[in-house]
Amino acid sequence: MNVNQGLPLVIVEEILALLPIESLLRFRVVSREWFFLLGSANFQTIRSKLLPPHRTQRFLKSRSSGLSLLSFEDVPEGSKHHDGNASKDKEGHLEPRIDELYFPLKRADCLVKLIGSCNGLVCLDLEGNYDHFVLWNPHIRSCRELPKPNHASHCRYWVAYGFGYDSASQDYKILLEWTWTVPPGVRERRTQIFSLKANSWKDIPNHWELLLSEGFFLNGALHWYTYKQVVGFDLEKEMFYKVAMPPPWVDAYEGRSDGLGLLGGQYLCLFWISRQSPTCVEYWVMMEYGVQASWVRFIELPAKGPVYYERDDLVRGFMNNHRHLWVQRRETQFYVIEFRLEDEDEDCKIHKTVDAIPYTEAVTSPYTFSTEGME
Amino acid sequence: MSITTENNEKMITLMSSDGEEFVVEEAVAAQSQTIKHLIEDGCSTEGSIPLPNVTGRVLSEVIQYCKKHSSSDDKEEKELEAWDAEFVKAADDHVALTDLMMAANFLDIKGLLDLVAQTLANMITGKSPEEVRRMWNIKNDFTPEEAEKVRKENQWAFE
Repeated sequence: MNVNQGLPLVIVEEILALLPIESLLRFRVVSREWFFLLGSANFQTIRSKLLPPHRTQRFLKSRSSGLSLLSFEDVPEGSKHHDGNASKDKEGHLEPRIDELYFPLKRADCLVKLIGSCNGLVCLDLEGNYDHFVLWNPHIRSCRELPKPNHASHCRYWVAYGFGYDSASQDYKILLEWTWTVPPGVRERRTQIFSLKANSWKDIPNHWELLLSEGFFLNGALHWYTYKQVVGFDLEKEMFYKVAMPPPWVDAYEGRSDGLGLLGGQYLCLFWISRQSPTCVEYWVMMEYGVQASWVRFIELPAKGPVYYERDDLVRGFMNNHRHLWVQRRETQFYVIEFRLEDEDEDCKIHKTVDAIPYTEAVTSPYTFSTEGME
Repeated sequence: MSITTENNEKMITLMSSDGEEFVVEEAVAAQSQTIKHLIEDGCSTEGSIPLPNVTGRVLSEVIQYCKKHSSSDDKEEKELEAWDAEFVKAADDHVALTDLMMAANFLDIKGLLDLVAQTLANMITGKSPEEVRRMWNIKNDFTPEEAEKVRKENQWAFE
């Protein structure tokens, strides 16, 4: 074998997948081949599998004043970095590092809606009207504005949304469902899907009513919770399906506060007010995707009252529309901690939404499918 | 007359691209998934497996690795790690390591592939793009405008 004959791409991939983000940023200029390899979703998939289990958890947060990156350092037990950890406030609570991000399309006093994040690409909605979507990689500062969906925007409506990646067609997709009421109170619905490869929207059939909810991307599908049912949308087949619910579902629960979340980025998690103890919230997790028997009661927590992190806590992920953190303490104890994104901005009180979504650093490009990004 | 375990082992002959022959125990050769499948498919009836992609020099290193890893059990993990570290150190430069990695990829030996990939990754992590190009004779095929654009993007990456 001779190195001069050129390095096979599979070898390059194996090596580069092990490098830190700083090196990847630098190596984008090595050659066109490396540039496109590093920008591909496939490369990011390989890379994510190799990431160590103890790593910094990152969230993107949107406020009217701007977008920022919150990093919670996840320090393995017994690590020597423990004592040098400066990210602790006076009361001993773990504080995230905050980096303000430059987002070129940000308008003054306008809250950018975070739709979702996948392979290091972030999907945003600029004005909160669900008609001006942008794909953005904050790390390489690359933005791509997407075509507007075709919907009647002048009536009041509820919107359900989701953003994910279909590895079969190597395509990023956005799903939007608009529901609105027409006199005398009839609900109408329109569901559309955007394909980045096609760079266009199209209507799809939808027998569900997702109403006002965030879709969670997992296992090649988006997931919503509606009318006591978790509904999945297969991004490859572009079809909705029912997800197996936990066994006690039917009688545990009637009209109580409930919801869906994603635990550690890899498990669906349902929660509801406990029937036995109404001051507690039960969290159930589906350990094996699609298997009803794999739903386990993960934890039960007081419904109110702030619990803070301790310095040795490991941030394992988050759930509940990302407003709760799942934290591991001393090997076997698990907590779900309310993640307060307090915001002193006056504007935010009006909007009443402070978005935060999980984020992984990558050099993935929103222009993966063509050389467009080079022009 | 007593027969040692070693003599009980079935032997396999591996032939490198430059015609060098290596006689190894089947258990050692089967560390390679590629060879294992060839054996299972009965491709070694002649007792010799040709490996047209691997030179004798590289193959002898690969066999050295496979021998060590087929004779060690899990309890010796620490010792094995130390041995691995010495092994890649001996391979010395990136050319030898790249050859080794390409062989590990072709022969499908996951442990060796991961080991060499990590060694090469450590080697290049702090290098400049120009140094990396020189290492592997990669041609910079960007137009000056494209290169400038990518460089600019990188400068903007948040601190």
